[in-house]
Amino acid sequence: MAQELTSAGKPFSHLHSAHCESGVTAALFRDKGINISEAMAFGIGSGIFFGHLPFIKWVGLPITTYRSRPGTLFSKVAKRLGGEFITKKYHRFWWSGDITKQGMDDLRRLLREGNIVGLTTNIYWLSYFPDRFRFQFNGHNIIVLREIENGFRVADPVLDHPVDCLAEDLERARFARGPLEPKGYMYYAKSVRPDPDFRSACITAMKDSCNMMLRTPFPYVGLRGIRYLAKVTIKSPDILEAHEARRRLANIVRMQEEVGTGGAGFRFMYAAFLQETADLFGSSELADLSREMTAIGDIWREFAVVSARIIKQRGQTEETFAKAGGLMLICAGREEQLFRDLDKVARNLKS
Amino acid sequence: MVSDIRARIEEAREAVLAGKKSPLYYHMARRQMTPAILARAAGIASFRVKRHLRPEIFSRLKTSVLDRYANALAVTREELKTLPNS
Repeated sequence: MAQELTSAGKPFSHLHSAHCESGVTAALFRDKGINISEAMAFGIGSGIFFGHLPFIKWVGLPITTYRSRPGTLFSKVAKRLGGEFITKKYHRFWWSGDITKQGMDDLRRLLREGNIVGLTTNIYWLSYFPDRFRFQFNGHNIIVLREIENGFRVADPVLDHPVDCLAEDLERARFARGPLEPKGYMYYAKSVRPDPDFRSACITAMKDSCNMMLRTPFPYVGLRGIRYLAKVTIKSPDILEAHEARRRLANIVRMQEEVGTGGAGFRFMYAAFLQETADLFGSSELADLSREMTAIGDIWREFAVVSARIIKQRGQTEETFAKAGGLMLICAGREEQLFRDLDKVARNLKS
Repeated sequence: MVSDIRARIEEAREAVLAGKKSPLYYHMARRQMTPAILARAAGIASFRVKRHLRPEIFSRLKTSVLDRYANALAVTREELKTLPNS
């Protein structure tokens, strides 16, 4: 935990967090004096999700995601806990002029007014990251604390300490082009409800998560998405070349383990959220579900380990695509049971 | 995964040195972009970007087009026309 001053002169305690968006959201709330953990923000924002989108290609590979679409988490938390939040996006029309300049001017103005501002950025252009984290991904969230000489003081939830970021880098990162453009998206809390209703927010959030995972009409997301991806993985060595199949699998694991800690990490975080709600409601059922979620997270980890062996071509005989897909199916089965139980529990909770 | 990216950049460099691709191809690879992303960033149609990856066509580009690429890739115009050593 590192202490830092914001533009308003208030102390800001920077916490290292596992996922950028929930970390930023929690930090914005903490700045306004509401004590909320990252896991809580993740849970209330219904951050848990699964999706495999074969038709959206990202560097030639299908997108696999283990959390909700960037941007939704924050708005859901804001809606459920209440408060006045301002978000702004800059659209490029022929009459809009230089949006890059407008975006940076607005940011400076807000900082001068004493806000801390959350931004969505492209991770490649943030040069304070080591090279191995830098790739074209337009969904990284950071907080700007204050302006410094030719740059900004930035609290990146993924890093241990606040860092300096050049204004030029930030400008590029905010207005990067490509799939899911951030369009200079920025958000800040004008005021928040002093006594947010955590109980009803949690119930709404849990029901929402269950809905997204269980009852989706769309075969690529939720549990149907996991099963679909498992099927694709099992079949992949037969329909693709060996190298290409490994590349696809590597991408799945990469999305799971590296990009904002991914699948297993999110499962563990949701388990932490369930644990916190269990304390909040004094419900032993939720505590059981939390343990089950941790166990599921462990299977996801195991899947990652098996896949890593396949990718590196170690243990050809016992580690096969079928085994990796099988592990994923186990996850799907257990998660389905878990979300069905959670749905029942959440319906019976009183706010 | 990191080695994969490095390998792709190295591959791009060799393709440029062999005269199969234009230097633009290397710079695009170095920024981990695809023609589609570069097209959006530079504000040039993606079919034109793909065309500009051919060395004989790239060498005939006028400076205004080169500047758009240089701006999008955060390099100078001179750098864009050459391969960096290393």
